Amino acid sequence: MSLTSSSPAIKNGLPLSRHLKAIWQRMSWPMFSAWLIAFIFVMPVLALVFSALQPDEAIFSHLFDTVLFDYIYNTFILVVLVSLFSLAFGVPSAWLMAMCDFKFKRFFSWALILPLAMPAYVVAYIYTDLFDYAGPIQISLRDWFGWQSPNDYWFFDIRSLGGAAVVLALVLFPYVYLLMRSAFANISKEQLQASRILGDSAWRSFLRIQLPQSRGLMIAALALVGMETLADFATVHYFAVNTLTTAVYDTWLGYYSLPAAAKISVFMLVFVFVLLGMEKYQRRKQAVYSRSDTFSDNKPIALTGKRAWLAIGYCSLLFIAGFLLPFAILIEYAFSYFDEAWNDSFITYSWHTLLMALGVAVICVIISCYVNLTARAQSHCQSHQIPGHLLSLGYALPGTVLAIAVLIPMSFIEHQINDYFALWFDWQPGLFLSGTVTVIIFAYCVRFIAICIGATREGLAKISPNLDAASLSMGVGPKRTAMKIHLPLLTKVMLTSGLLVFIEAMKELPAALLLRPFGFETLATYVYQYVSDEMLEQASLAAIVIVLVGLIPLIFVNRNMESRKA
Amino acid sequence: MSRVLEVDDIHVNYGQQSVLSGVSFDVEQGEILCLLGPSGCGKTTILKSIAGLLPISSGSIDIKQNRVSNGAVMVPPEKRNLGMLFQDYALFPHLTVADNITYGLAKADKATKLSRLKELLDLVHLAGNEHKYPHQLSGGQQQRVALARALAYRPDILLLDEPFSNIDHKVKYELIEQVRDIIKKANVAAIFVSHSKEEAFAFADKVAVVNQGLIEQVDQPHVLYQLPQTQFVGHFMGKLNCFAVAHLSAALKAAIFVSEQEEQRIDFIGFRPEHIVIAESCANLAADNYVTAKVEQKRFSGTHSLLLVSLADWDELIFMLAPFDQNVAVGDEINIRFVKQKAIQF
Repeated sequence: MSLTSSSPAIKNGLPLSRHLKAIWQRMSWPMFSAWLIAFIFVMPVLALVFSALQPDEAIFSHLFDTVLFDYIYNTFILVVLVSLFSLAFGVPSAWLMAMCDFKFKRFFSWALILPLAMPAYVVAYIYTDLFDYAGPIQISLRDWFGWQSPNDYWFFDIRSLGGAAVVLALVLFPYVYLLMRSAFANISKEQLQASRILGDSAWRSFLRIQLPQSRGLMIAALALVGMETLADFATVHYFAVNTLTTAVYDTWLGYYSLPAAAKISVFMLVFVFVLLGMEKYQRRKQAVYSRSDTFSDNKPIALTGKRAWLAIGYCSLLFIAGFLLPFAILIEYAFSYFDEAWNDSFITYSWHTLLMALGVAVICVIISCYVNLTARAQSHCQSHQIPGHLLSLGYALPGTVLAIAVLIPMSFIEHQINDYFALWFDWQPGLFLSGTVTVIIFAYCVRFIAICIGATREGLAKISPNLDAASLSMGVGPKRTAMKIHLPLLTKVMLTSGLLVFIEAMKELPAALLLRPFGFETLATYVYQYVSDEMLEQASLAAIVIVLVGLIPLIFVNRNMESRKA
Repeated sequence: MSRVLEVDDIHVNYGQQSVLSGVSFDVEQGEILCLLGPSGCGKTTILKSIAGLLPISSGSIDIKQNRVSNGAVMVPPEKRNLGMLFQDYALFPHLTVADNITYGLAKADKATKLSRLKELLDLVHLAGNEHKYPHQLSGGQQQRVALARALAYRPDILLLDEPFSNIDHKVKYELIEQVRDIIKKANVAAIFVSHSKEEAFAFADKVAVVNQGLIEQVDQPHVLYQLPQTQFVGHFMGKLNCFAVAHLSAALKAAIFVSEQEEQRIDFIGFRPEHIVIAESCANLAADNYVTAKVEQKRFSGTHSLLLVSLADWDELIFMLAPFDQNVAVGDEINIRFVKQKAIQF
């Protein structure tokens, strides 16, 4: 309300200070705190932009003249390819799960989430091992056909842009799968029947009814996938594909030029904000309250014979390629190299990583609920959604960029405080932020809270405003309504989104590579070190743990979702 | 009877658009008022203004002599002691029937809650279902839970937003009777929003006809039907044959008894279909007491047949009723008579 009412007044020439005052007077305490949280989370972005405006001793213009456009081109193609592959993997499987019934469906309904637990660089390493010139596949082929050299036959090169795209899509498609599955399941069967009666074939009713209605969630899922892809550092670095992310990393570690790294990052952000803008626009168009959500009872289409085998085959292929095969190979490594892989540092790092990821997930869920519920309670105020949108910006920051962005304000604050202590006391607290785990936790929250913010916002949008009106009319105020109605109905969403954050935080690598305090390793940094040294076998146990801790909550949440459905 | 709600000259604007432009009415204890009108007329806006879900631009709303809304102040919904019944029932899906019903009794102690719960379950005939969840109940049962929930904390007014529009026609009137009975037993004032006059007639004591952000008339249903004050109300309440006096031929004027004084005073005269009848024997009637009409369409409707007839010097078809066994066919010429006492004048 404050924004619209202020705009005509500005035209009438009222001084700005009076507008700010008016906005301030209308600001409630919860709204103010939401804005404050948003500001803290946005600070790194602001610092980054500020830093990008600093002069950089011609490093950037050198990059601009030579390789930057190749990097941009590679990045663009990579995002497009990963999105396409993720759709091809995720949409059919989501549709099968939401609409059909076939043998092993219950198994696949959770098995297809499992690839989320696989770090892309581990998959990349394993498939390189398999498909390389010296790998078992090509060796067998050469044995069978009697080929002598690479000139005798064609074999795809996995260490390429296309290879990177497939590997990334194999572990990212569950985002598309999860969101599209719930999108399809929420569309009432009556609508599909209506479209069939109006003369559509099954395929056309998919195109005309299901796809348009789930477009919002599909774009949201693709935005997630796209941003994950932009953020990926390890896979492309391992495959030696140069993208903007590797450019930021190399610029920072190679030239130690923060402004140049910040400038490339800003390039990247433009990319990301276009994606983000598309997603927001789509969601705004779709404020639909689904009434049948909790009571709906859609009977699945039973698949038999060839069609059932096709469905099973498709799901198996995704499951094997995205999870089972790489995991089996990891286990094989672990058996063969157990003595080298089992050591104290491995155990310590596991525990640290688990605690840290859990902390990040809990913080993200709590803040998201607080901010979104405040927005719902204050929905008469036109700017109520802005803090949530600001908080989501962090997802736009690829890990490498984020690390640099977070370091800027943190070290500034540390400097100020250390100066203060030096002046008044004879003691300095030192690098109490950037030299500790705090910096990683904060960075991860900035980066991953968007998952929770988006999910809780979607979840809340599905709760009919009549429930709020009913509760309020019964004398229960907004705060207690949130506690008694919204939060219980959001449990599923909180678990799902918290889980996604947990896994992401556990697997996140590039930010940790730059931010980890001295002597602190996350499992991811530990594993990646061995990957880049071509010795994953030695860290195979750690890699298995990354996968397993990601698996436990996956299974737990999936069970929870299933039992609620029943 | 004491006055529970007073709505005085309220205006509501959405941006530049005026949605309500001066609505006033009041409701007494134990009275059921229906806000009746076509969709988009502003009836739901009136309800939301009373509930405190929407600010009003000017005017005032008083509940039990307490000012709850005016142009500047809006008491929040939770402080108004209202009950609301929604079209989609808005039951809390994660709470049992018992928890839903006692939701508004948060401040009461456990014993009070239990005894009130029992009273309400008896009132809405759902005893034994208290541990079920909403999705385990039928639509009608869900609605009765919603009703019990809205009545549990003894609200001053019950607001019902299109509560019957999703309900199957066969059981609708039975349900309306049940709900009406429950509300009357609870002796609570109720405001009910509907676009269906049949529902309004069956459910309400008084009906306010809303049109384009204004109340056209408030009265008992039969008065609205028999003595509508505006053409809109006349047409909305049921089929109405309306004649513009200025355009009537001399013969028609005579047949529908428009005297010269009336011609000066009124612009329109209307007849319900049942007040235009077939003149059985014209021998007893003066020639100018009936007119000849041609049957254009005939629709059988059980107790009666609805005839659409054309008159020689009138452009529009006239609706009239004939006994179902009347021997008329499409194309017949018949003599018709207007029941003068029932004429509606505007």
